[in-house]
Amino acid sequence: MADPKPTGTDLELMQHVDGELDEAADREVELRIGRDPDARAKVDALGEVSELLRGHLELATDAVPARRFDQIWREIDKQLDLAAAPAPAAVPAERAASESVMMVLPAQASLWRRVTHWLDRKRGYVITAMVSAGAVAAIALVARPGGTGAAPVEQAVAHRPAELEALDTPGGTWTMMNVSDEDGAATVIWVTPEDTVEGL
Amino acid sequence: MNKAGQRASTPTHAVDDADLVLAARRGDRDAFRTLYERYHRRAYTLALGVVRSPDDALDVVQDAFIKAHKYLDKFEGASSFYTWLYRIVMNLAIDHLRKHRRHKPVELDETRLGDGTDRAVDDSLLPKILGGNPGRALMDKQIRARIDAALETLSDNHRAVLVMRELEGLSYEEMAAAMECSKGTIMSRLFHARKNMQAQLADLRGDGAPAADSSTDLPAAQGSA
Repeated sequence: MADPKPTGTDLELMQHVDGELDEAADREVELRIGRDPDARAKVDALGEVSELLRGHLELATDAVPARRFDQIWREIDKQLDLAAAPAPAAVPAERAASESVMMVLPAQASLWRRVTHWLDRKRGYVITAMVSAGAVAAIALVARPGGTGAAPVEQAVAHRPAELEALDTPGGTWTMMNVSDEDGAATVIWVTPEDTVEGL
Repeated sequence: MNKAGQRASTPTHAVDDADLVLAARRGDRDAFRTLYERYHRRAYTLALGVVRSPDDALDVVQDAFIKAHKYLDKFEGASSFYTWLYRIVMNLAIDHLRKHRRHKPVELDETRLGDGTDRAVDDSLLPKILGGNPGRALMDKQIRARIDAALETLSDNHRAVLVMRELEGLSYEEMAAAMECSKGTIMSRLFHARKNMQAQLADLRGDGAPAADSSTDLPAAQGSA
């Protein structure tokens, strides 16, 4: 509560006005104010500053149009809606594994980097798939109608413009892509097996 | 109203604030809006007094209500909703000042408060400012501009203490807690803020009296940390 102070100071007058003196000190100040017109005037002046400040700030508040406070409410309402919205559910690992590698690498990563990253993760599938795809391509070229003098396999695959081919198998979907950039060209077999589990 | 004329506590309403808080906690946005409608102007006045810029004060009000909503569960009802809200407003306003601190001259008393206790307060309050009619004075735009300018001359800490006291009637102890300093420091800041406001406005005296005589009645050293 209040701290006892020496009497006779303006600081005490202020504490008196603010209700911060203990009972005994407050009584003494009251007596002083009663017999000292200057002390009375100082107490009045403190009230004057209070009124000026309060009145001034309240008038400044009244000058703000109601629509401005309505805007503030709408913004608050919006923010509360955002805060209340459920966070997006995490993508299950198995689903993420079967989806595009775009989820793993930042969008600005180069195509080649994304492909090599994907190859690292799917090395087992890719080797098997490439062998199988090579076999499929060779059979397709050899068995082509009128195709007696078959072109080499690498010419048939690597030197064609980029294209996509898909092959559905009981175990999933294989997609073949010829990709090229400044680092060179490559054939990518994109395997999306059913029930893929990350790391297997 | 207390001796200095600060506002009485929260006015009565048809629906109690506590009921609105309970409803708002259950997700009733209309209840929270009612709380906003009741207190946004008071919150704005308080924020404006501290941060000075109307746009910044609106930002403080917005952030304060968002924060209040977020922590409604922590409001225990020991004080009124507004008492709780103004603390949030003050904290945000003071944070705002800290983040956007401008370089202002250090006030005289601040140089003497190294240990947080009062030392000599070496001049006195003025006996009169505007001839005892502040309400009438406020009708004068020039006088209001002078009040604005006077507020602007105060240090951020002095202004914050003055506004907390004059608008909301906070005790020295409450202000000390809000500003994380001693009661003695609060008392000193408040004294000097008031004295400086008086000095800034002294030439507006309407009674033709000479400007203040500050040579008398020097306050003695105080030490109330």
